Amino acid sequence: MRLLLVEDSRRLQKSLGAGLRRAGYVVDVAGDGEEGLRAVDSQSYDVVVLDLMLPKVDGLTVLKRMRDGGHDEHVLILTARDTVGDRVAGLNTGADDFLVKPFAFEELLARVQALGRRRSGAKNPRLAIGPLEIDTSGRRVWLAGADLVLSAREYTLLEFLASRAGRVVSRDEIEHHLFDGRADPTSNVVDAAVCALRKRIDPPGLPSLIETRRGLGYVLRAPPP
Amino acid sequence: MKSIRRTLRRQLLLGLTLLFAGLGTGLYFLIAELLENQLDQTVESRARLLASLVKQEPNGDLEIEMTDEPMPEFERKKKPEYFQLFGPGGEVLARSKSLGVQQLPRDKKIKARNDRAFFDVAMSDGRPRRAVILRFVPRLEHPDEHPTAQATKSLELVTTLDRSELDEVLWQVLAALAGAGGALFFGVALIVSLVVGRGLKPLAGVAERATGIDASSLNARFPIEGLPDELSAICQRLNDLLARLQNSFERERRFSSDVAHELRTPIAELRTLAEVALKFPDAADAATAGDTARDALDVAVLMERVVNNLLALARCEAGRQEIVEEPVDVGAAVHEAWRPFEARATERHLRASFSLAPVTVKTDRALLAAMLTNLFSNAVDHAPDGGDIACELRTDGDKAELAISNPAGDLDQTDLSHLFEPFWRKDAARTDRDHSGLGLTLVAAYAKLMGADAAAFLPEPGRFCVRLRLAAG
Repeated sequence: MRLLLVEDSRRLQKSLGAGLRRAGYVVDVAGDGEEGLRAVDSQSYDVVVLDLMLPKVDGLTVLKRMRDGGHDEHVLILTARDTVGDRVAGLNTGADDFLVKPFAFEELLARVQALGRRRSGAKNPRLAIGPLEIDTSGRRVWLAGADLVLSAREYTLLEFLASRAGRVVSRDEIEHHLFDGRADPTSNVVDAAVCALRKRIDPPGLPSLIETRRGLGYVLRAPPP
Repeated sequence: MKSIRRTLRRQLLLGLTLLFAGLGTGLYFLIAELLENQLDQTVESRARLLASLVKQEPNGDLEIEMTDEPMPEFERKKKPEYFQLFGPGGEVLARSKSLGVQQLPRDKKIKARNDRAFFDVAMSDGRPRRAVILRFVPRLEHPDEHPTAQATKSLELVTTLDRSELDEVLWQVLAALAGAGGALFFGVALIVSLVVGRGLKPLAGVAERATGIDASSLNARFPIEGLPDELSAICQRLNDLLARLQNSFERERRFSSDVAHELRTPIAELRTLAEVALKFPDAADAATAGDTARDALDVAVLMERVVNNLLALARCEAGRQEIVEEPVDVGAAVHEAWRPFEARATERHLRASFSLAPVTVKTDRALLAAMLTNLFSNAVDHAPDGGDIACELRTDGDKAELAISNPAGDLDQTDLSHLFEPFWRKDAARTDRDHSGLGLTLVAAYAKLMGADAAAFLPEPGRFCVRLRLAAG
C-alpha cells in the first residue's frame, strides 16, 4: 500500500516514515503543502497522512485542492489542533479520519490500515481465500488454521493481492505499491517476491493460490473445489 | 446579610409610622385643647353668671342672691354641680347645697394678669369635673353711690362643670385616631412594600443577570436602556469590567491553548521516535539508534527552552523577577551576547556590523544579556543566507538607544503589532521549531521590568529592526 506523508516536522517525517515503511507501507514524504500537492498529482496513493499546519499551502487547502482536482485518496488528518471546529472543518473538506498530536503510533497504523481496507472496498478486517485467512488489523495470517509467520514484505504483498482477490493485479501495480517505485524496472523483483510468497502459502501437492496470467499479472484466488 | 429592600422597608415604615403617630397625637391634643377651651368658657360663663348674683352695698355688705334663686343644677342628686363663694379672708360666704360636707379647693393660683384659673377636681360621686376659680369684685347695688374701701374687696368663686361627656368624646376621638393609625400602618406597610419592590425591580433584574454570568459567559452585558440613572451608571461600569475580564480570559485561554499546541508537536515527535524504535527493535542499527537519540535530545532541548521561557514570562508577570541594577557598559554587553552567534553567522555567511557609542546604563546585567541573546538569535536565524545584521548604539538625550536590524523580506506593517505576542510566528505552520515563539515576548516583558522601551519597526521595506531605549546612567 502506497502512502503519502505530508508533514513539516523533520523529526516526524523521519520517525513516522521509518515506522510506516517497517510496517510494510511504501511511504513518500512531502515537507510542505506545495510538495504534497505535487506528489498527489504525480502518483496515486492509497492513503494520504496530512498535517494541517503546513508551510506554503496549509493542510486544509491541500485537501480542498485534492478533492477539487478529483483525487479520491483516503486522507487522514494529523494535527496539533484539537477543537471540534478543526475536526468539523477537516471532515467537511473531505478528510476521512482525524488524529490529534500526540498520538500512539499503533493507533496511526490501525487507522491507516482501516483506510487502506476502505480503499479496497473491504470492511471486514478478516479476509478468507481458500485455506488462507488474513487478519488485516492484527496483520496475522493462518494457513489451514495454522499460524503462518510472514516477513513484512511478504505480508504486504499477500494483503495487497488478497484485497484484490479474484482480480488480475499487474506487475506495475505491485511494484508501485510495494517497492517504493525505486526498483529497477528491468529487475524481476516482483516475480521473485511472488515466488517467495507462493513457497510460504501454497499447500504442498496442490495448485498454487497465486495464478500467473502471462503478460497480465497475478491473481490470488481460492483453488477450485 | 443586609438587604436594601428590607432596610428601606423598615426605615420607611418606621419613619412614616413616627410621622403619622406624631400627627395623630398632635391632632388629638388639638381637639382636646379646643374642647377643653369650650368647656372652660362654659364653666367660666357659669361662674360669671353666679358672680353677677353677688352684689354689695357701698358700706361693703354683701347681698348674695344665689342662695335665694332656685338653681336646680346645684341641688339635684344626680350629676349635681357645685359652687362655693369665698370672702376676702377665705371665709366661705356661700356654697351649693350639693356640696354637702365637701369643700371646693380655693388654693389654685390665679395668674396676675387674669381673674380666673381652671383646674380639674374630683368630687365624692366619682365624676370628673372642670372647675374655675373666679376672682371678682361684686357689683354695687347702687352704682351711682361711691363705694367705701370695704366695698372694693374681691371675692373668689369656685364653680364646677361635669366633664365626663368631654372625657368620653376625647376617648372616642382617641379610639378613632388609634383605629385610623392602625389601618394607616397596614396601608403604609403595603404601599411601602409595593413601592420599594417596584423601585428595586431593576436592581433585582441586574442581580439576576449578574448571577447568570460566569467564566463561560463573559460576553454577556447588562442592558442600559430603560434603567434608572443610578443603575445605568453602575451597569455601564460593570459592562466595562466585563469587557476587560473577557479580554483577559480570552488572552489567557489563547495563551493556554498556544502553550498546549506548542508542546503537542514535540511530544508527538518524542513519542513516535520512542514507539517506532520499540516496535521495530530488530531493524535498529547503531546509526539509526544514534539518530533517534539525537532527535530525542533535540526535542528535549526545544521543550526545555519553551518551558524555561514560559517560567521566565510567568515570573515577570507575577512580579517575581528580581532586578539587580548596576552600571553596565552596553557596548561590552552587546559584544558578549553576540559571541555565541558568531559561528552560526559565519556558517550562514551573515555580515555583522557594530556601531557602538560608549554608553553606560544602570540596569540589570543578566536581563539585558537575555534580551540581547533573544534579539541576536532571531536576527541570525531569520536573516536570509548572506544577509547583514546591523547593531547600532547611540545616546538620545538621557536615553541609550540600541537598534538591531536584519533583512526580513516576509514581514509587513500588519505583522508588527503581533510580534511581541506569545507564540506568534509569521509562518502559521510553525515549521521553525528551533524557536519557542516567546523570545520577543520575553524581550518586551524584561524591557517593561527594567523601565525600558522595546519597539519593532521596518526602517525600510524588507528590513526589520528592534529598538531598545534604556535610561542612560
